[in-house]
Amino acid sequence: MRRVRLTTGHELALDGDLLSVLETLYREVTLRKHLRVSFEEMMREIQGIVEQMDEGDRRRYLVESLFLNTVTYENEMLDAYMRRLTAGKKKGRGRSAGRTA
Amino acid sequence: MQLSVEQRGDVRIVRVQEAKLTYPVLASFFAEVRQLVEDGTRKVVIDLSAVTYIDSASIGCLMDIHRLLREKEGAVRLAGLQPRVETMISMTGVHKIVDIHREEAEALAAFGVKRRGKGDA
Repeated sequence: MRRVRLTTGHELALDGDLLSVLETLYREVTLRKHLRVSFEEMMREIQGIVEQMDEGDRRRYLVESLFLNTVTYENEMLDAYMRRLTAGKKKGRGRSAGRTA
Repeated sequence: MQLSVEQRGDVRIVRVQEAKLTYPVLASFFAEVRQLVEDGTRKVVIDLSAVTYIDSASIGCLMDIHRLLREKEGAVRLAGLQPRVETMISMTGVHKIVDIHREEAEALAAFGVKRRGKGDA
């Protein structure tokens, strides 16, 4: 199994586990900087990981990342829609209750 | 795909017996659940206590199962999530759409199935 190395020296196995990559970045970059990591530092780290990947790894992680974000987006949209529905019902009750003869 | 199905009242418990729930096994997993729904099941508990790794396609599959049951005015509940699986579920917002329970007994109770007592047959 291929492994990549972060700038901290930590090695990460490329087994297709996207969550593992996110957890490693958080632990090795964000927490090491005591939550004060800049977007440029994180971008450099991610670009470094991607540059060490071969074509197959890049394709695999891109598919996994796109699918994960697609599901997340769909659920966010569904949740927002449900909240709008609920808010609409609540407003209706309020208007009805407030009407006077 | 290693899984088993049990019945408690009008609830079917689908126990996933794979440590890794990933894209290659999803077709058979979904087919199994779809067959249950076509046979008339409207309440499904998916027991994920044996699953330690889940990929994004599996998250999508669980959402498909949710939609499948909602279309039939049924519901699916997830139970026994291991920590990393729970992280994936939370990250993708599945927990806002699908009910999650720590234990199977809670999921069954939410479906109105009473806990088995010592005196029960």
